[in-house]
Amino acid sequence: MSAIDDELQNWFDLLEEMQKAAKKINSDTKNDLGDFSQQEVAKLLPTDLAKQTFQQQMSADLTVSDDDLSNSKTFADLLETAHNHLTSFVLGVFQSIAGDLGSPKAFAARLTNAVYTTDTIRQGLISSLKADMRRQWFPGRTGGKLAALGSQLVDPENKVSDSVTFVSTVDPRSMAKGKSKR
Amino acid sequence: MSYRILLAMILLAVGMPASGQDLSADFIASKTYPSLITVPVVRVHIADSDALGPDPARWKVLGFDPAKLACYRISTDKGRQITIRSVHFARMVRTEGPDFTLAYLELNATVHKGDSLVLTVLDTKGTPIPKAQKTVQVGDIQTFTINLTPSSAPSEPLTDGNTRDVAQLKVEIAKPDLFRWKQARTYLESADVFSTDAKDINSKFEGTFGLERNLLSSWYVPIHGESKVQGDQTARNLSYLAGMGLKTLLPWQHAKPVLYNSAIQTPVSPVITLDAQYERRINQDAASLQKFPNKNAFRVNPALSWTPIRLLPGLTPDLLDAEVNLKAWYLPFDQTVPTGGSQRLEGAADVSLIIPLSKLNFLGHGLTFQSQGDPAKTQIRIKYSTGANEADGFKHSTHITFGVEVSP
Repeated sequence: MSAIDDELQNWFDLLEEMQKAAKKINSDTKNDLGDFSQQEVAKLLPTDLAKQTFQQQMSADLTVSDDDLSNSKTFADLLETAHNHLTSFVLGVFQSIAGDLGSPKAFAARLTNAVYTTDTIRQGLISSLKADMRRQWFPGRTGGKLAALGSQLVDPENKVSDSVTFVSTVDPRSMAKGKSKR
Repeated sequence: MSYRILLAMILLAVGMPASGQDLSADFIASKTYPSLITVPVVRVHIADSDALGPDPARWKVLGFDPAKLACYRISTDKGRQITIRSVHFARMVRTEGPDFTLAYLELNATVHKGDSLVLTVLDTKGTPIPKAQKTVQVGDIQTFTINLTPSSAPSEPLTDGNTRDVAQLKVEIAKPDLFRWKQARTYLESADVFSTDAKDINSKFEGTFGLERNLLSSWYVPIHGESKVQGDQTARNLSYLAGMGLKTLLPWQHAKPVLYNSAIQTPVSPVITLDAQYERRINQDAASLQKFPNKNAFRVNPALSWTPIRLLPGLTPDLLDAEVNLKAWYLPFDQTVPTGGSQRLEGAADVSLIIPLSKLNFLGHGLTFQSQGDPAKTQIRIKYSTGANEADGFKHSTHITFGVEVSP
């Protein structure tokens, strides 16, 4: 496993650490990591003392500043503000599998069917993403994003950035289930 | 939609830095534990930076070593070099090793709010990496504060009962990190009002030296101890005060099985505070002696505040909330009666029931329309209070109040 895979895994590990810290402070914290990522910071950490406790609980892994807390709506936003964007790591895996060491921005603009030309390399990418990411993001809660990404990669008009965005978006829980939980 | 807007939206959607900013960095005031000292830090989002990216293989090609202090250079926009004290990183959760995709550059404390700093990332030979530069604005960080506010005070009351027009100078000095101790934040504060008339009843000086740190490594329990001298301008009344206090939440995950169900939900811990203060009255004028005959005063003041407590959430969410506040005072130098009394121990409690107006829709739409979409927007509070009132010499009372609270 490459360093870039570890980094992508670590993004989710950090989100889990945030979830653990939030659970110690507020019982409204959701158990599902994907649901937690969309919970509002201001609702789970409603007071200065709750925010300061959260900052202290996270401090061994990540520095979360006062501005980070006040400028982030959800916990996914908070992690992207205090650390790096999930898309940067996902793009890193896309780029690493392709063996490209150039600018990530330039790589993101390339067409996937010109980069991932063989079935082996496409399966390698999908396997890496599946191993590195939590299922709520990829392959999705029901696994439906696997086939969709496979189709995207051979689409002649699909850019790397399109697939990176697709993979990095958390799979929403169905409305019926979402409503049943507080 | 123009091509440029579309391109910008795509770049934002994949979370990349905007065009022309190939290094992603910002300024933060970073709190250290357990000392609670705030240090100025430039945070470098290496993975988000197009000039560097997340891949260590690319860093090697660029000659960039994130762990080397020499790979970072910070100067002001006028070219003055800023000392970087250290570079450290976020942590890989599984291995507990450094996470090189996020660097924290701790700066010398000489930077000030509003300063523009230019961060340049270099290769190991000292050559700037192409496009690896970013201008960072220093945000809110207090290193030293001094405020002088002159004012005129017409008809100012004096200690002899007269009034006269005086001029006053308000002085506020604060040094939030006095010594760079690793164990605690040390601070010095002074809040004074000097008057052109020494008998001005509002003249005062107050000097405070304090220490603050986090008590535990596993939980946030900030504790502070203070030593304070306060008096009026000519020290006719002069006191020395020593105090300590702490404020914390309880780790609440274990309460969930008992206190988070369809009958009652208490999502957050009560806030617990404890304050203790000793006062030695060194100098007292006649008025003060009459009011405070004892040279010594000591008080311990624990308090507990618990909100929200959701009642019957299984029936309807946000149907009924409760709030509880408890306070106690222990004043061993005060007697409950002048002779033969016992040491003073007082308590007070209040309990509030909060009903969102939106839940009273059976009374008519006109009453509830203001609360649409936000149950906390307009609510009825029924508050029962009992016990001692500190502000009124610990007189006891019990009362119920009703009120309507409207949030904008």
